Amino acid sequence: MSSAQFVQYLIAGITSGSVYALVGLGFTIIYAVSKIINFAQGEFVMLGGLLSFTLIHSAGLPLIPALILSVIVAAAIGAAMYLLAIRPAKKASVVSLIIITIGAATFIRGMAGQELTKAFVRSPSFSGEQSISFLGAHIDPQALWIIGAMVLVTIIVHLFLTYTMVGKALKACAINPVASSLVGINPKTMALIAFVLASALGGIGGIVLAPLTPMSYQSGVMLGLKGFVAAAIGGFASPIAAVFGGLLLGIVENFAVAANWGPFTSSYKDAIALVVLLLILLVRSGKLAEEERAG
Amino acid sequence: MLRVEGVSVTYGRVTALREVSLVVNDGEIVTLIGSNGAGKTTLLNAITGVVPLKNGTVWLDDCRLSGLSSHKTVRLGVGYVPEGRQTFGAMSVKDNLTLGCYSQRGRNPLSTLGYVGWFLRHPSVQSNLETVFKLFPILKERQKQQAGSLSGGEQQMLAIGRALMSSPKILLLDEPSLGLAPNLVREILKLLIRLRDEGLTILLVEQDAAAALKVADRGYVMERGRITIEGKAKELLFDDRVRQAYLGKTVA
Repeated sequence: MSSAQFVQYLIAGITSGSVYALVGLGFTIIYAVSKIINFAQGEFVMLGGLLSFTLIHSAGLPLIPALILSVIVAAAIGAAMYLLAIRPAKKASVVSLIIITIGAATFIRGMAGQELTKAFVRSPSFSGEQSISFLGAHIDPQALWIIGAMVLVTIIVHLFLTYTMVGKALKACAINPVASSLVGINPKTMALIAFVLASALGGIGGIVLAPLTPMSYQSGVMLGLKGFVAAAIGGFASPIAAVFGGLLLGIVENFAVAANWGPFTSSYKDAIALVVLLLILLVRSGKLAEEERAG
Repeated sequence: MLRVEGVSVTYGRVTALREVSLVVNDGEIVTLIGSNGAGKTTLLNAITGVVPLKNGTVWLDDCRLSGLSSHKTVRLGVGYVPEGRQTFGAMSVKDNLTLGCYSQRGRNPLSTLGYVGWFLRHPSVQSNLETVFKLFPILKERQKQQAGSLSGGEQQMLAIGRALMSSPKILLLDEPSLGLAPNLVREILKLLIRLRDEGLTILLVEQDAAAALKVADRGYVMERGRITIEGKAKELLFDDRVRQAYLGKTVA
């Protein structure tokens, strides 16, 4: 592999890893606050992509308002999902709530196919198609937008959690929900904020990804799975760990395809995330069982 | 101040509290004593809305507390120091205390969305923080340390401090002496008297009946989910039934 090829694959890995990171970040935030694994997480990336395409092409909105509106709508759908599907199931166990998220994911996917578009669509690039040369590699400018968006969003989420009262309340709720309610924090409000935040993160992933990779209403499934693996690599422990998990997965995926040897071909690209997930489960299963026993 | 009227609580088929009634008047320390499993913690959890009531009502002055969830009872003025301290271990001491004021944010909802520093600049938050640091100088020294790294006694102080940050009308404490060295226990009980003298009303649940009755004005004894004895703390200290069951003294 030449150094130019190496750079090419590395940047491709970081690019797709950035989207996984955004999804994984959403998984981790919702899990921390509510112990729910939101399997609809990937659908919000799809929504971000399809909404921005529809707003630009069918509604004729200029790029920036279309992008902002797409994220807002994705976040609003996340809020609606929590308020209409999760919160009414008051005494349901966490497992039931997780199953509800799978149902919500199917519903969102179906509605998107019905109301937005059934075709594979690609939104216009943010800053032209002219590729940039960097250390011998050719980089689509949109890749830089994706990576930049991920870095910026991660920093904003970190600042939000560390330096605002709501952010601290979210953390407190994640550490000890009962104690947090005793200082006046409403765990349900925190869960709502977590869902809104996570779906906005997914939406942002979608609007930056759609100009690079064509998307359809079914694209959310695989993106959600990859984001889940990203969060699992990070142990569902901290947002930053999920971001690194996403980047790692993206890089591993692209280099495995680049090897083009044995099973490592592009047709198996999506299987790599599953192999990584199996490895994590093998390594962590002992630890998980211990945690389960500890309570 | 606090009136508990005919409160019953059940966990599944098990009845934890049966028709419990008690009163805590303004500026009193009232203690609730009883053996393990008598229902003392359940009663505090019922007052604060951590567990739902089956029957009965709880009043704080003219506000009905029963039926409200715990994040709302705090806002109405019930400070609760739960069993086992329950501090936010992975957060700093100062963050723990700051969050204690979370229930007061209603005065300026925007301040919760903004920078924590703006929230801390709020005069009531500042004066509460100063008061707590004055009561517990060790917390001021360790304000940047993680709560989880504090000793048991310091964590207890932090839990009390965090509850005081919400400017409560009444403070409920569940076994504040649990697992603490005798001199620390004395210090904490002395502090409760000081807080009472400054006008705070206190409901204290204690395993160590002798120590609790010494600082309290009045006391209630709980057995198997019922209040069985009540009276002035001084009288309970000399009550034969109490002495035999809870003070480990044989009646001569």
